[in-house]
Amino acid sequence: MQSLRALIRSQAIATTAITNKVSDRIYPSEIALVENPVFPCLNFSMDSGGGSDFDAPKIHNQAVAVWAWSTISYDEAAEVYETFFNAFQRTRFKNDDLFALFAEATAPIENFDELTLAYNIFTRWSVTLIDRT
Amino acid sequence: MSQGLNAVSGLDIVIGNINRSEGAIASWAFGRVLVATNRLHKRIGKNINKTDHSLERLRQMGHPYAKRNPRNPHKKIPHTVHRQSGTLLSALMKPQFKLTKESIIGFVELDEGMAPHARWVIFGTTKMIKRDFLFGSLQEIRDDIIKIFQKGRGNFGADGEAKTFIFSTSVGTTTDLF
Repeated sequence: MQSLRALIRSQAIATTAITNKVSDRIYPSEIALVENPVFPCLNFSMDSGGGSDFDAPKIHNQAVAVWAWSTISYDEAAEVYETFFNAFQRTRFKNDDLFALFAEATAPIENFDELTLAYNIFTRWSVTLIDRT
Repeated sequence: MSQGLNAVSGLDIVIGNINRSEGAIASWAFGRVLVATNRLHKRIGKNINKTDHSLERLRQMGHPYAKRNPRNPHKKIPHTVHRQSGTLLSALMKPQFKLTKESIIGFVELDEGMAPHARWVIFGTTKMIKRDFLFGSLQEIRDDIIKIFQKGRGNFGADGEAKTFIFSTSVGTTTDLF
């Protein structure tokens, strides 16, 4: 998971459209675990479940939860999310440990955090991983 | 005359068998969806009704789901939710089904009107980690659901002949709840 986490963050930071919106504020954990998050931002976390086929143990499926945040509006959060979507949807990335193919698995859901008055867009992604080791 | 390498013979017979057995297949499939959805409903109900830690005990533990001290005490089932008022459980609706020409869908949903805080539990907030008990419960029993469908290699008789259909299935998850 560390390898996938690092891959997502490095690819996101390498995408100009994303960093134009959120700079390097792509937090690789739940927002509740981030000390003083700055908005707008993106964050993601690994979900439980997934696994591999008995006959193809090197091919896994991993669910990743992704949030795009804004303190201004849902529209801005949606714009942030769109940069992530455009960079990752049906795109294959790789690092030394794995290949990863990303696909959006759920439609975006809007939520409003009443404590910090922040808008967020939540989606779940399905990542197909092939172990290169 | 040569045949292509990928030529399939007997396809018309297979299609004919499927068409003749369409009703039986649909009936079988609905039965399986019913079993799978009921199982999911039961698992979700179990996961949102935990009583191993009372509210007072969670307070003593330092509110393990809150930002101030995030230590989920249930590592194996991180989407566990402890019963407090029981509102969340009450909001869990009975399994529902949707039939279209091409699909049979079973789903479980929450009545957000009864439990407006469910959204915060499922998606998390800036001060509390998420516990998506809907997605998490489905993931828990995913293998069981696949077995439910794979077990049913049905013999659908048509015109007195027994034919075997082998079904393949994929389990998809959505969180299109609200």
